[in-house]
Amino acid sequence: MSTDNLNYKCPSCGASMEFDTKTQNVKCPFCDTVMSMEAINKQDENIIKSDVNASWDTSSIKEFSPEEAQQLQSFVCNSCGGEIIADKATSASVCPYCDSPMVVSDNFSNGLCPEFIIPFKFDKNAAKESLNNHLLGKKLLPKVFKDKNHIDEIKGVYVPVWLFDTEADANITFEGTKTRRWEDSEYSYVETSHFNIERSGRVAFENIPVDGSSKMDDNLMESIEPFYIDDAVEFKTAYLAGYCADRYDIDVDGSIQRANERVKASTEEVLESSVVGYETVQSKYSQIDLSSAKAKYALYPVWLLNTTYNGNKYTFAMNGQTGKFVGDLPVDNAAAKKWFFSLAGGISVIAYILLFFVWKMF
Amino acid sequence: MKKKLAAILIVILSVCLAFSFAYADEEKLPLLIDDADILSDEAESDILLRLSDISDRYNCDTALLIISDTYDFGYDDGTALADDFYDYSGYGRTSERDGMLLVWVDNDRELFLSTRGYATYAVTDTGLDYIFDEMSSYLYDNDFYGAFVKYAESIDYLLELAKSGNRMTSGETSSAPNPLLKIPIALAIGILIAFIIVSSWKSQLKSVQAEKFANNYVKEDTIDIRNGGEYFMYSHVDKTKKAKQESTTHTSSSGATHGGGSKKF
Repeated sequence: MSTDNLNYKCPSCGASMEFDTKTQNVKCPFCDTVMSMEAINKQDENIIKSDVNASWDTSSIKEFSPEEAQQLQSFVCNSCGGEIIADKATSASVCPYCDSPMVVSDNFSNGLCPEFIIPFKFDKNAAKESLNNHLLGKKLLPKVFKDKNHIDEIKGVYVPVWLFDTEADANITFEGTKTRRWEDSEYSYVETSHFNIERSGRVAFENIPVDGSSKMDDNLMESIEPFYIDDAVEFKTAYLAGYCADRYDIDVDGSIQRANERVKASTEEVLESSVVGYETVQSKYSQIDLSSAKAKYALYPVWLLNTTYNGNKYTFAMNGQTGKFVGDLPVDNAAAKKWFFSLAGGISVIAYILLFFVWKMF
Repeated sequence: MKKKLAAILIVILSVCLAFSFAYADEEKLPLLIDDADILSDEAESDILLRLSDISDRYNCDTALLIISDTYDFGYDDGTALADDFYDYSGYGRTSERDGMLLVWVDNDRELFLSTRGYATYAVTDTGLDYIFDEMSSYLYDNDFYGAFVKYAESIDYLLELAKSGNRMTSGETSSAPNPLLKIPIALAIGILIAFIIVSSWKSQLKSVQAEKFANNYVKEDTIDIRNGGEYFMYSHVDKTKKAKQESTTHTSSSGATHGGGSKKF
């Protein structure tokens, strides 16, 4: 046995701890930190990985049938390389992501057929109105942007998403602290006690969407969530009439990581909510095993609006199912400075007057 | 003419003081003497009532002397004057002569506090700062009545603290900070609030952000949490030395030990 195995570091100061025969605990000779033998034993046993273990079932994902493929055509963007599919009656002349011209591809190659589609519930006019509402009440939005704002084209796009169902079995170890304070004639004391808290549990998730298009900004897509699967219907090419659909270019394996991250964060949050009575709680180890993990392919409706201001491109997106509208706006820095100095000056004067009276009260 | 009048006044005051020092052990001087005549009769009555009340309640004399100049009494040091006036004017309760005297020298605009016996214990150095801070804004405004009422109230508070065994230490200083701090504090408040407001307006322009969680996709009634146990691991104690509750002392010409201090306004 190597000496390293017998060397326990003090969690407070890092010095080597020693066994205290009086208390039958391990004690730090430098800072008097005491560690229970139970904690030491558990530390030895803890070979816990902070990881998510999962294998995903993708067997339900199938390809377009020859009949479906016949009704579709694909367009290729010369600029970003994106491939858009639409029904043969729809002409997609401009890429919905980068506004560059698109050309009809010679062949519509078969690909994976979406299992579900959520049809658009909001039309183009609703998207325009939402944009106008989005610009209201923003004090630092440049006036020129607001007054002369024009959207060249509004595109209704079915964005490809991978939907993940899974059950998370989690074992998470938290470290919690409690403090106790007292004093004598010479010193004030603060005792911080550290506790090991173990929680295990099971949480089931369904239809966690992960953007399957590299052209669609992931953050933009996640900002217009949630999408409700209750409105989803079996995919029919007829739903594409008048709209275009992006073809996935990130496969299911490339999307799983993002789904795992969200499952892990939510599972940890759910389990942490059951830890009460501590002043601080921190996750130390977590092992999350996913079972019944299943991936599906679907198309979600999104209105995309692009505009340019001062040479920068601004993209807005509206959830075609719920109408939720998002998009970062430019900041009028000159107005921000003006407001800051005016407010600081005005509030300082008011604060000075109030302080004058407060001073008098003492 | 003026010089003659001043000379006569000095002689009269010196005689009075010598007379009072000589008969100190036999008769105590009033707890309030306004020799500079800066208080109205009503104000004098009110303050004297307050000082008498405090002196009786805590069995600790609380006196106030207001003079124009220390030289009128043959002193060039206000601290020595305060100590000697206290020692030879019959002030003090119990055999330890418990009590204190505050001297306001009007021409110099300076306060001197002399404490003795229990008052030296009760009025710590921090407590002394507290009294002067409490009085400062009134003295700057020449509101002498307000200042001496604050003196009485501060002493009342400090004696009460001492009585409960919890004398004032550093960290419990005056609730009335230096008036000159008003400007930077007001500016800091203005800048902070303006920053918060403008930042909130800027944040209105940002609505795109990654979704960290998948809470919207948790299946209903599927959360099952099992408690795996909680146990103590280790503890650590941090100790901080408490501020000293001390009063700085010195010895007066009579050999008695006095506390207190002075401050110019």
